[in-house]
Amino acid sequence: MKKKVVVLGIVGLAVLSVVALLEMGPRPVDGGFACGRLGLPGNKVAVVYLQGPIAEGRQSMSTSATITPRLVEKYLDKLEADPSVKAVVLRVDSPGGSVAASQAIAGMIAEFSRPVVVSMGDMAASGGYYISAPADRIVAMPGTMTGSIGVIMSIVDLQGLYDKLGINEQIVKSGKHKDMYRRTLTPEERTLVQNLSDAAYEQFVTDVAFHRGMTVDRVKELATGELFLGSQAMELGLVDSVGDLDDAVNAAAELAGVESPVVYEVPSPIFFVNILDLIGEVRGFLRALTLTPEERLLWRLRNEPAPELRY
Amino acid sequence: MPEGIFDWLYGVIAGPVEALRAVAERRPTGWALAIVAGLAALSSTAGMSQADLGAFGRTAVERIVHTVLPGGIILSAVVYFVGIGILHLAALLFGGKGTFAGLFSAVGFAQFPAMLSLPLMLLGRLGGPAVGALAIVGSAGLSIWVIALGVIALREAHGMSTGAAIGTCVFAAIIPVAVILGIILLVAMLATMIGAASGAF
Repeated sequence: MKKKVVVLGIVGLAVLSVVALLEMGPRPVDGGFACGRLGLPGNKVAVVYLQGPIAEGRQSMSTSATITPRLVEKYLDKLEADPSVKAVVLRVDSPGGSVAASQAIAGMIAEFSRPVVVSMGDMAASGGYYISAPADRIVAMPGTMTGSIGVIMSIVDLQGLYDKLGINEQIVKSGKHKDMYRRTLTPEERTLVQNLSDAAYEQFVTDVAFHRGMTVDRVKELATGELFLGSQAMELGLVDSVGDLDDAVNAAAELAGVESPVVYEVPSPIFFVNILDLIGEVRGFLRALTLTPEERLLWRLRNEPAPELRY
Repeated sequence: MPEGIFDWLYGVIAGPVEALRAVAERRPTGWALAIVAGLAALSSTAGMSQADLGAFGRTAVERIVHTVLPGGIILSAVVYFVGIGILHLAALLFGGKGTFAGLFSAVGFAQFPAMLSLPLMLLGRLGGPAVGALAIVGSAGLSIWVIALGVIALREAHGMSTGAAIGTCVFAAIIPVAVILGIILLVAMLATMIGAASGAF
Protein backbone atom coordinates (compact mmCIF):
# COMPACT_ATOMS: atom_id res chain seq x y z
CA MET A 1 0.00 0.00 0.00
CA LYS A 2 2.78 2.40 0.98
CA LYS A 3 4.61 1.68 -2.26
CA LYS A 4 1.51 2.33 -4.33
CA VAL A 5 0.91 5.65 -2.55
CA VAL A 6 4.51 6.81 -3.13
CA VAL A 7 4.56 5.82 -6.82
CA LEU A 8 1.11 7.20 -7.63
CA GLY A 9 1.93 10.29 -5.58
CA ILE A 10 5.00 11.01 -7.72
CA VAL A 11 3.09 10.44 -10.96
CA GLY A 12 0.15 12.54 -9.75
CA LEU A 13 2.46 15.34 -8.64
CA ALA A 14 4.11 15.35 -12.06
CA VAL A 15 0.78 15.46 -13.90
CA LEU A 16 -0.58 18.19 -11.64
CA SER A 17 2.59 20.22 -12.16
CA VAL A 18 2.16 20.02 -15.94
CA VAL A 19 -1.49 21.08 -15.66
CA ALA A 20 -0.48 24.02 -13.47
CA LEU A 21 2.30 25.04 -15.87
CA LEU A 22 -0.13 24.85 -18.78
CA GLU A 23 -2.62 26.97 -16.90
CA MET A 24 -0.05 29.60 -15.92
CA GLY A 25 1.69 29.91 -19.25
CA PRO A 26 5.12 31.45 -19.71
CA ARG A 27 6.65 33.86 -17.26
CA PRO A 28 5.95 37.45 -18.35
CA VAL A 29 9.06 38.91 -19.91
CA ASP A 30 8.82 42.48 -18.74
CA GLY A 31 6.16 42.75 -16.06
CA GLY A 32 2.43 42.52 -16.57
CA PHE A 33 0.54 39.36 -17.47
CA ALA A 34 -1.23 40.03 -20.70
CA CYS A 35 0.07 37.15 -22.76
CA GLY A 36 1.08 33.57 -22.67
CA ARG A 37 -1.94 31.96 -21.08
CA LEU A 38 -3.15 29.30 -23.44
CA GLY A 39 -4.88 30.70 -26.46
CA LEU A 40 -5.51 34.10 -24.95
CA PRO A 41 -4.29 37.06 -26.97
CA GLY A 42 -2.30 39.73 -25.23
CA ASN A 43 -0.91 43.17 -25.89
CA LYS A 44 2.51 42.27 -27.12
CA VAL A 45 5.17 44.49 -28.55
CA ALA A 46 7.43 42.11 -30.43
CA VAL A 47 11.15 42.86 -30.55
CA VAL A 48 13.06 41.46 -33.51
CA TYR A 49 16.82 41.68 -33.77
CA LEU A 50 18.18 42.33 -37.26
CA GLN A 51 21.95 42.26 -37.06
CA GLY A 52 24.71 41.97 -39.62
CA PRO A 53 25.21 42.87 -43.26
CA ILE A 54 22.27 42.74 -45.66
CA ALA A 55 22.46 40.10 -48.37
CA GLU A 56 20.40 37.83 -50.51
CA GLY A 57 20.39 34.09 -49.94
CA ARG A 58 19.51 31.85 -47.11
CA GLN A 59 20.99 31.43 -43.69
CA SER A 60 23.71 28.87 -43.23
CA MET A 61 26.42 28.31 -40.66
CA SER A 62 28.69 30.91 -42.24
CA THR A 63 25.96 33.47 -42.90
CA SER A 64 23.96 33.08 -39.69
CA ALA A 65 24.66 36.71 -38.76
CA THR A 66 23.24 38.15 -41.97
CA ILE A 67 20.01 40.03 -42.59
CA THR A 68 18.28 38.45 -45.57
CA PRO A 69 14.86 39.05 -47.09
CA ARG A 70 14.02 35.44 -46.28
CA LEU A 71 14.86 35.93 -42.61
CA VAL A 72 12.81 39.13 -42.34
CA GLU A 73 9.92 37.50 -44.19
CA LYS A 74 9.93 34.62 -41.69
CA TYR A 75 9.79 37.02 -38.77
CA LEU A 76 7.15 39.34 -40.19
CA ASP A 77 4.91 36.56 -41.52
CA LYS A 78 4.80 34.97 -38.08
CA LEU A 79 4.14 38.25 -36.35
CA GLU A 80 1.48 39.21 -38.90
CA ALA A 81 -0.33 35.95 -38.12
CA ASP A 82 -0.27 36.57 -34.38
CA PRO A 83 -3.19 38.74 -33.32
CA SER A 84 -1.69 39.31 -29.88
CA VAL A 85 1.20 41.27 -31.41
CA LYS A 86 0.10 44.88 -31.54
CA ALA A 87 3.35 46.48 -32.70
CA VAL A 88 6.86 45.51 -33.69
CA VAL A 89 10.23 46.96 -32.74
CA LEU A 90 13.07 46.14 -35.09
CA ARG A 91 16.45 46.43 -33.42
CA VAL A 92 18.64 47.21 -36.42
CA ASP A 93 22.40 46.89 -36.25
CA SER A 94 23.75 46.78 -39.78
CA PRO A 95 26.38 48.43 -41.97
CA GLY A 96 24.20 47.85 -45.06
CA GLY A 97 24.73 45.58 -48.03
CA SER A 98 22.98 44.44 -51.17
CA VAL A 99 20.74 46.98 -52.91
CA ALA A 100 18.07 44.53 -54.02
CA ALA A 101 17.95 42.74 -50.64
CA SER A 102 17.65 46.09 -48.86
CA GLN A 103 14.79 47.09 -51.14
CA ALA A 104 12.99 43.78 -50.57
CA ILE A 105 13.29 44.14 -46.80
CA ALA A 106 12.21 47.78 -46.84
CA GLY A 107 9.16 46.78 -48.88
CA MET A 108 8.16 44.14 -46.32
CA ILE A 109 8.50 46.61 -43.46
CA ALA A 110 6.49 49.23 -45.31
CA GLU A 111 3.67 46.73 -45.95
CA PHE A 112 3.48 45.41 -42.38
CA SER A 113 -0.03 46.05 -41.14
CA ARG A 114 0.80 47.14 -37.58
CA PRO A 115 3.05 49.88 -36.26
CA VAL A 116 6.77 49.29 -36.74
CA VAL A 117 9.41 51.19 -34.79
CA VAL A 118 13.11 50.88 -35.54
CA SER A 119 15.53 50.99 -32.64
CA MET A 120 19.03 51.57 -33.97
CA GLY A 121 21.92 49.83 -32.27
CA ASP A 122 25.61 50.56 -32.81
CA MET A 123 25.19 51.13 -36.53
CA ALA A 124 22.35 51.48 -38.97
CA ALA A 125 24.21 52.88 -41.92
CA SER A 126 23.55 52.91 -45.65
CA GLY A 127 21.36 49.83 -46.29
CA GLY A 128 20.84 49.64 -42.53
CA TYR A 129 19.32 53.11 -42.72
CA TYR A 130 17.45 52.29 -45.93
CA ILE A 131 15.56 49.39 -44.29
CA SER A 132 14.85 51.59 -41.26
CA ALA A 133 13.36 54.44 -43.26
CA PRO A 134 9.90 52.85 -43.86
CA ALA A 135 9.30 52.41 -40.12
CA ASP A 136 6.61 54.49 -38.49
CA ARG A 137 9.19 55.85 -36.11
CA ILE A 138 12.98 55.65 -35.80
CA VAL A 139 14.68 55.78 -32.41
CA ALA A 140 18.48 55.95 -32.37
CA MET A 141 21.00 55.89 -29.58
CA PRO A 142 22.90 59.19 -29.27
CA GLY A 143 26.04 57.40 -30.44
CA THR A 144 24.49 55.29 -33.18
CA MET A 145 26.37 55.57 -36.46
CA THR A 146 23.77 56.14 -39.14
CA GLY A 147 23.30 57.85 -42.48
CA SER A 148 25.96 56.91 -45.05
CA ILE A 149 23.34 57.37 -47.72
CA GLY A 150 25.01 56.48 -50.97
CA VAL A 151 25.95 53.64 -53.24
CA ILE A 152 29.22 51.81 -53.66
CA MET A 153 30.47 49.14 -55.98
CA SER A 154 33.92 47.62 -55.91
CA ILE A 155 35.43 45.64 -58.74
CA VAL A 156 38.53 43.61 -58.09
CA ASP A 157 41.01 43.68 -60.96
CA LEU A 158 42.71 40.27 -60.80
CA GLN A 159 45.12 40.91 -63.68
CA GLY A 160 48.14 41.59 -61.46
CA LEU A 161 47.55 38.44 -59.44
CA TYR A 162 47.12 36.39 -62.62
CA ASP A 163 50.42 37.76 -63.90
CA LYS A 164 52.16 36.92 -60.62
CA LEU A 165 50.84 33.36 -60.71
CA GLY A 166 51.58 32.98 -64.41
CA ILE A 167 47.94 32.43 -65.28
CA ASN A 168 46.87 33.49 -68.72
CA GLU A 169 43.09 33.70 -68.76
CA GLN A 170 41.67 33.35 -72.25
CA ILE A 171 38.28 34.94 -72.69
CA VAL A 172 35.92 34.38 -75.59
CA LYS A 173 32.97 36.73 -75.40
CA SER A 174 29.90 37.88 -77.26
CA GLY A 175 28.91 41.32 -76.12
CA LYS A 176 31.31 44.21 -75.98
CA HIS A 177 31.31 44.67 -72.21
CA LYS A 178 30.71 41.08 -71.11
CA ASP A 179 34.16 40.76 -69.53
CA MET A 180 34.36 44.27 -68.12
CA TYR A 181 34.24 43.08 -64.50
CA ARG A 182 37.20 40.73 -65.02
CA ARG A 183 39.75 43.32 -66.05
CA THR A 184 40.58 47.01 -65.79
CA LEU A 185 37.61 49.16 -66.84
CA THR A 186 37.92 51.39 -69.90
CA PRO A 187 36.81 55.03 -69.49
CA GLU A 188 33.58 54.21 -71.34
CA GLU A 189 32.87 51.26 -69.04
CA ARG A 190 33.63 53.35 -65.97
CA THR A 191 30.91 55.75 -67.16
CA LEU A 192 28.48 52.85 -67.56
CA VAL A 193 29.13 51.66 -64.01
CA GLN A 194 28.87 55.22 -62.72
CA ASN A 195 25.45 55.52 -64.39
CA LEU A 196 24.32 52.33 -62.65
CA SER A 197 25.51 53.66 -59.32
CA ASP A 198 23.80 57.01 -59.91
CA ALA A 199 20.51 55.31 -60.76
CA ALA A 200 20.64 53.22 -57.58
CA TYR A 201 21.50 56.40 -55.66
CA GLU A 202 18.40 58.10 -57.07
CA GLN A 203 16.30 55.16 -55.90
CA PHE A 204 17.84 55.41 -52.43
CA VAL A 205 17.20 59.11 -51.95
CA THR A 206 13.73 58.94 -53.52
CA ASP A 207 12.68 56.13 -51.20
CA VAL A 208 14.11 57.82 -48.11
CA ALA A 209 12.38 61.06 -49.07
CA PHE A 210 9.08 59.24 -49.53
CA HIS A 211 9.21 57.31 -46.27
CA ARG A 212 10.59 60.15 -44.16
CA GLY A 213 8.36 62.85 -45.63
CA MET A 214 11.31 64.90 -46.82
CA THR A 215 12.04 66.48 -50.17
CA VAL A 216 14.38 64.66 -52.52
CA ASP A 217 16.63 67.72 -52.61
CA ARG A 218 16.89 67.75 -48.82
CA VAL A 219 17.77 64.08 -48.72
CA LYS A 220 20.38 64.64 -51.43
CA GLU A 221 21.99 67.31 -49.30
CA LEU A 222 22.48 64.66 -46.62
CA ALA A 223 23.22 61.80 -48.99
CA THR A 224 26.94 62.28 -49.35
CA GLY A 225 27.84 58.93 -47.89
CA GLU A 226 28.61 60.75 -44.65
CA LEU A 227 27.99 59.02 -41.33
CA PHE A 228 26.05 60.85 -38.62
CA LEU A 229 25.71 60.20 -34.91
CA GLY A 230 22.18 59.44 -33.72
CA SER A 231 21.90 62.84 -32.05
CA GLN A 232 23.00 64.59 -35.27
CA ALA A 233 20.66 62.45 -37.35
CA MET A 234 17.74 63.57 -35.19
CA GLU A 235 18.55 67.22 -35.81
CA LEU A 236 18.79 66.49 -39.54
CA GLY A 237 15.45 64.68 -39.59
CA LEU A 238 16.82 61.27 -40.44
CA VAL A 239 15.58 59.79 -37.15
CA ASP A 240 12.66 60.82 -34.95
CA SER A 241 14.11 60.64 -31.48
CA VAL A 242 17.06 59.59 -29.41
CA GLY A 243 16.61 56.75 -26.96
CA ASP A 244 17.24 53.12 -26.17
CA LEU A 245 15.31 49.94 -26.83
CA ASP A 246 12.87 50.62 -23.98
CA ASP A 247 12.07 54.00 -25.50
CA ALA A 248 11.42 52.30 -28.82
CA VAL A 249 9.09 49.79 -27.14
CA ASN A 250 7.21 52.63 -25.47
CA ALA A 251 6.95 54.43 -28.80
CA ALA A 252 5.60 51.28 -30.45
CA ALA A 253 3.06 50.79 -27.65
CA GLU A 254 1.98 54.39 -28.00
CA LEU A 255 1.50 54.04 -31.76
CA ALA A 256 -0.50 50.84 -31.22
CA GLY A 257 -2.58 52.33 -28.43
CA VAL A 258 -1.40 49.72 -25.95
CA GLU A 259 -1.26 50.78 -22.31
CA SER A 260 0.57 47.92 -20.62
CA PRO A 261 2.64 46.25 -23.29
CA VAL A 262 4.30 42.91 -22.78
CA VAL A 263 7.66 42.77 -24.46
CA TYR A 264 7.99 39.66 -26.56
CA GLU A 265 11.49 39.00 -27.81
CA VAL A 266 11.01 36.93 -30.93
CA PRO A 267 13.43 34.01 -30.93
CA SER A 268 15.64 33.52 -33.97
CA PRO A 269 14.20 31.03 -36.42
CA ILE A 270 16.10 27.79 -36.15
CA PHE A 271 17.83 27.02 -39.38
CA PHE A 272 18.36 23.34 -39.91
CA VAL A 273 21.82 23.18 -41.36
CA ASN A 274 21.52 21.51 -44.69
CA ILE A 275 23.94 18.59 -44.71
CA LEU A 276 25.13 19.57 -48.19
CA ASP A 277 25.82 23.12 -47.00
CA LEU A 278 27.74 21.71 -44.06
CA ILE A 279 29.76 19.43 -46.30
CA GLY A 280 30.44 22.35 -48.63
CA GLU A 281 31.72 24.47 -45.79
CA VAL A 282 33.95 21.73 -44.39
CA ARG A 283 35.18 21.05 -47.91
CA GLY A 284 36.02 24.72 -48.40
CA PHE A 285 37.91 24.76 -45.12
CA LEU A 286 39.91 21.65 -46.01
CA ARG A 287 40.66 22.97 -49.47
CA ALA A 288 41.87 26.28 -48.07
CA LEU A 289 44.33 24.38 -45.88
CA THR A 290 45.98 22.78 -48.90
CA LEU A 291 46.51 25.97 -50.93
CA THR A 292 49.48 28.34 -51.04
CA PRO A 293 48.74 31.91 -49.88
CA GLU A 294 48.54 33.17 -53.50
CA GLU A 295 46.23 30.34 -54.51
CA ARG A 296 44.08 30.93 -51.45
CA LEU A 297 43.78 34.62 -52.33
CA LEU A 298 42.92 33.81 -55.92
CA TRP A 299 40.36 31.22 -54.82
CA ARG A 300 38.75 33.67 -52.42
CA LEU A 301 38.63 36.47 -54.97
CA ARG A 302 37.22 34.22 -57.66
CA ASN A 303 34.55 33.04 -55.27
CA GLU A 304 33.58 36.55 -54.31
CA PRO A 305 30.05 37.38 -55.36
CA ALA A 306 29.70 39.04 -58.74
CA PRO A 307 30.23 42.80 -58.62
CA GLU A 308 27.17 44.36 -57.04
CA LEU A 309 25.94 47.77 -56.08
CA ARG A 310 25.75 48.11 -52.33
CA TYR A 311 23.84 50.45 -50.05
CA MET B 1 12.96 -9.74 -4.92
CA PRO B 2 10.40 -7.06 -5.96
CA GLU B 3 7.80 -8.55 -8.30
CA GLY B 4 5.24 -5.98 -9.51
CA ILE B 5 5.24 -2.62 -11.23
CA PHE B 6 4.73 -0.70 -7.98
CA ASP B 7 7.43 -2.77 -6.25
CA TRP B 8 9.84 -2.01 -9.04
CA LEU B 9 9.08 1.72 -9.26
CA TYR B 10 9.22 2.14 -5.49
CA GLY B 11 12.39 0.07 -5.45
CA VAL B 12 14.05 2.38 -7.99
CA ILE B 13 13.81 5.10 -5.33
CA ALA B 14 14.25 3.11 -2.13
CA GLY B 15 16.55 0.28 -3.18
CA PRO B 16 17.64 0.74 -6.79
CA VAL B 17 20.22 -2.06 -7.01
CA GLU B 18 17.80 -4.89 -6.21
CA ALA B 19 14.90 -3.31 -8.08
CA LEU B 20 16.83 -2.66 -11.28
CA ARG B 21 18.39 -6.12 -11.14
CA ALA B 22 14.88 -7.61 -10.86
CA VAL B 23 13.64 -5.45 -13.75
CA ALA B 24 16.60 -6.54 -15.90
CA GLU B 25 15.77 -10.15 -15.20
CA ARG B 26 11.98 -9.89 -15.71
CA ARG B 27 12.27 -7.50 -18.71
CA PRO B 28 8.97 -5.57 -18.56
CA THR B 29 9.77 -3.72 -21.80
CA GLY B 30 6.22 -2.40 -22.26
CA TRP B 31 6.24 -0.70 -18.87
CA ALA B 32 9.71 0.68 -19.52
CA LEU B 33 8.56 2.17 -22.81
CA ALA B 34 5.48 3.61 -21.10
CA ILE B 35 7.68 5.34 -18.51
CA VAL B 36 10.00 6.80 -21.16
CA ALA B 37 7.16 7.91 -23.46
CA GLY B 38 5.03 9.25 -20.61
CA LEU B 39 7.93 11.22 -19.22
CA ALA B 40 8.69 12.61 -22.69
CA ALA B 41 5.06 13.63 -23.23
CA LEU B 42 4.79 15.35 -19.85
CA SER B 43 8.16 17.11 -20.23
CA SER B 44 7.36 18.26 -23.77
CA THR B 45 3.96 19.57 -22.69
CA ALA B 46 5.47 21.38 -19.71
CA GLY B 47 8.23 22.83 -21.91
CA MET B 48 5.73 24.05 -24.48
CA SER B 49 3.56 25.59 -21.80
CA GLN B 50 6.45 27.94 -21.10
CA ALA B 51 7.02 28.74 -24.77
CA ASP B 52 4.10 31.10 -25.31
CA LEU B 53 1.65 28.86 -27.10
CA GLY B 54 -0.68 31.71 -27.86
CA ALA B 55 1.72 33.07 -30.47
CA PHE B 56 1.59 32.70 -34.22
CA GLY B 57 -2.12 32.19 -34.60
CA ARG B 58 -2.43 28.55 -33.63
CA THR B 59 -4.22 27.39 -30.56
CA ALA B 60 -2.41 25.64 -27.76
CA VAL B 61 -4.51 22.52 -28.10
CA GLU B 62 -3.62 22.20 -31.79
CA ARG B 63 0.04 22.58 -30.95
CA ILE B 64 -0.10 19.96 -28.23
CA VAL B 65 -1.88 17.49 -30.49
CA HIS B 66 0.32 18.18 -33.50
CA THR B 67 3.67 18.50 -31.80
CA VAL B 68 3.75 16.87 -28.39
CA LEU B 69 2.04 13.61 -29.26
CA PRO B 70 4.04 12.59 -32.32
CA GLY B 71 7.15 14.53 -31.33
CA GLY B 72 7.28 13.76 -27.64
CA ILE B 73 6.05 10.19 -27.65
CA ILE B 74 7.00 8.55 -30.94
CA LEU B 75 10.31 10.33 -31.37
CA SER B 76 11.35 9.70 -27.78
CA ALA B 77 10.50 6.01 -28.19
CA VAL B 78 12.56 5.77 -31.37
CA VAL B 79 15.46 7.72 -29.90
CA TYR B 80 15.32 5.61 -26.75
CA PHE B 81 15.31 2.39 -28.79
CA VAL B 82 18.32 3.50 -30.84
CA GLY B 83 20.12 4.87 -27.79
CA ILE B 84 19.70 1.64 -25.86
CA GLY B 85 20.90 -0.26 -28.94
CA ILE B 86 24.13 1.76 -28.97
CA LEU B 87 24.51 1.38 -25.21
CA HIS B 88 23.94 -2.37 -25.48
CA LEU B 89 26.59 -2.75 -28.21
CA ALA B 90 29.01 -0.65 -26.19
CA ALA B 91 28.32 -2.80 -23.11
CA LEU B 92 29.08 -5.97 -25.09
CA LEU B 93 32.40 -4.41 -26.16
CA PHE B 94 33.18 -3.74 -22.49
CA GLY B 95 32.50 -7.38 -21.59
CA GLY B 96 28.80 -7.14 -20.68
CA LYS B 97 26.69 -10.29 -20.71
CA GLY B 98 23.14 -8.96 -20.56
CA THR B 99 20.31 -8.81 -23.08
CA PHE B 100 18.93 -5.85 -25.04
CA ALA B 101 15.47 -6.33 -23.49
CA GLY B 102 16.91 -6.41 -19.98
CA LEU B 103 18.88 -3.20 -20.53
CA PHE B 104 15.91 -1.56 -22.27
CA SER B 105 13.72 -2.31 -19.24
CA ALA B 106 16.19 -1.41 -16.52
CA VAL B 107 17.27 1.93 -18.01
CA GLY B 108 13.61 2.80 -18.69
CA PHE B 109 12.68 2.22 -15.05
CA ALA B 110 15.75 4.16 -13.95
CA GLN B 111 14.19 7.24 -15.57
CA PHE B 112 11.22 7.19 -13.19
CA PRO B 113 12.59 9.71 -10.64
CA ALA B 114 12.94 12.22 -13.50
CA MET B 115 9.18 12.75 -13.01
CA LEU B 116 10.19 14.93 -10.07
CA SER B 117 11.71 17.45 -12.49
CA LEU B 118 8.19 18.63 -13.30
CA PRO B 119 7.29 19.80 -9.78
CA LEU B 120 10.72 21.45 -9.66
CA MET B 121 9.92 23.24 -12.91
CA LEU B 122 6.65 24.45 -11.41
CA LEU B 123 8.49 25.61 -8.31
CA GLY B 124 10.89 27.62 -10.46
CA ARG B 125 7.99 29.17 -12.34
CA LEU B 126 6.09 30.10 -9.18
CA GLY B 127 8.89 31.44 -7.05
CA GLY B 128 11.21 34.40 -7.24
CA PRO B 129 14.91 34.34 -8.10
CA ALA B 130 15.91 32.56 -4.88
CA VAL B 131 13.35 29.79 -5.31
CA GLY B 132 14.30 29.60 -9.00
CA ALA B 133 17.94 29.07 -8.06
CA LEU B 134 16.86 26.39 -5.58
CA ALA B 135 14.86 24.67 -8.32
CA ILE B 136 17.89 24.73 -10.63
CA VAL B 137 20.08 23.18 -7.93
CA GLY B 138 17.36 20.59 -7.30
CA SER B 139 17.12 19.79 -11.01
CA ALA B 140 20.88 19.39 -11.23
CA GLY B 141 20.84 17.02 -8.26
CA LEU B 142 17.97 15.10 -9.80
CA SER B 143 19.86 14.77 -13.08
CA ILE B 144 22.89 13.37 -11.27
CA TRP B 145 20.63 10.92 -9.43
CA VAL B 146 18.99 9.72 -12.67
CA ILE B 147 22.37 9.34 -14.38
CA ALA B 148 23.62 7.32 -11.41
CA LEU B 149 20.51 5.12 -11.63
CA GLY B 150 21.20 4.64 -15.35
CA VAL B 151 24.72 3.44 -14.54
CA ILE B 152 23.32 1.05 -11.91
CA ALA B 153 20.74 -0.20 -14.44
CA LEU B 154 23.48 -0.88 -16.99
CA ARG B 155 25.68 -2.54 -14.38
CA GLU B 156 22.88 -4.82 -13.15
CA ALA B 157 21.54 -5.60 -16.63
CA HIS B 158 24.96 -6.59 -18.00
CA GLY B 159 26.61 -7.91 -14.85
CA MET B 160 29.45 -5.41 -15.09
CA SER B 161 31.55 -3.55 -12.56
CA THR B 162 30.62 0.04 -11.78
CA GLY B 163 33.77 1.31 -13.52
CA ALA B 164 33.03 -0.67 -16.67
CA ALA B 165 29.45 0.63 -16.65
CA ILE B 166 30.63 4.24 -16.40
CA GLY B 167 33.17 3.63 -19.19
CA THR B 168 30.43 2.11 -21.33
CA CYS B 169 28.16 5.14 -20.82
CA VAL B 170 30.93 7.59 -21.76
CA PHE B 171 31.89 5.50 -24.79
CA ALA B 172 28.27 5.17 -25.93
CA ALA B 173 27.78 8.93 -25.63
CA ILE B 174 30.81 9.58 -27.83
CA ILE B 175 29.90 7.09 -30.58
CA PRO B 176 27.03 8.99 -32.28
CA VAL B 177 28.96 12.27 -32.33
CA ALA B 178 32.07 10.54 -33.67
CA VAL B 179 30.10 8.71 -36.37
CA ILE B 180 28.38 11.88 -37.61
CA LEU B 181 31.61 13.89 -37.60
CA GLY B 182 33.43 11.03 -39.33
CA ILE B 183 30.84 10.82 -42.11
CA ILE B 184 30.94 14.58 -42.69
CA LEU B 185 34.74 14.66 -42.76
CA LEU B 186 34.91 11.64 -45.05
CA VAL B 187 32.42 13.07 -47.56
CA ALA B 188 34.12 16.47 -47.44
CA MET B 189 37.55 14.93 -48.03
CA LEU B 190 36.24 12.84 -50.91
CA ALA B 191 34.62 15.90 -52.44
CA THR B 192 37.87 17.84 -52.03
CA MET B 193 39.89 15.09 -53.67
CA ILE B 194 37.43 14.86 -56.56
CA GLY B 195 37.47 18.64 -56.96
CA ALA B 196 41.27 18.77 -56.89
CA ALA B 197 41.53 15.89 -59.36
CA SER B 198 39.20 17.66 -61.78
CA GLY B 199 41.29 20.83 -61.50
CA ALA B 200 38.31 22.97 -60.59
CA PHE B 201 38.55 25.73 -58.06
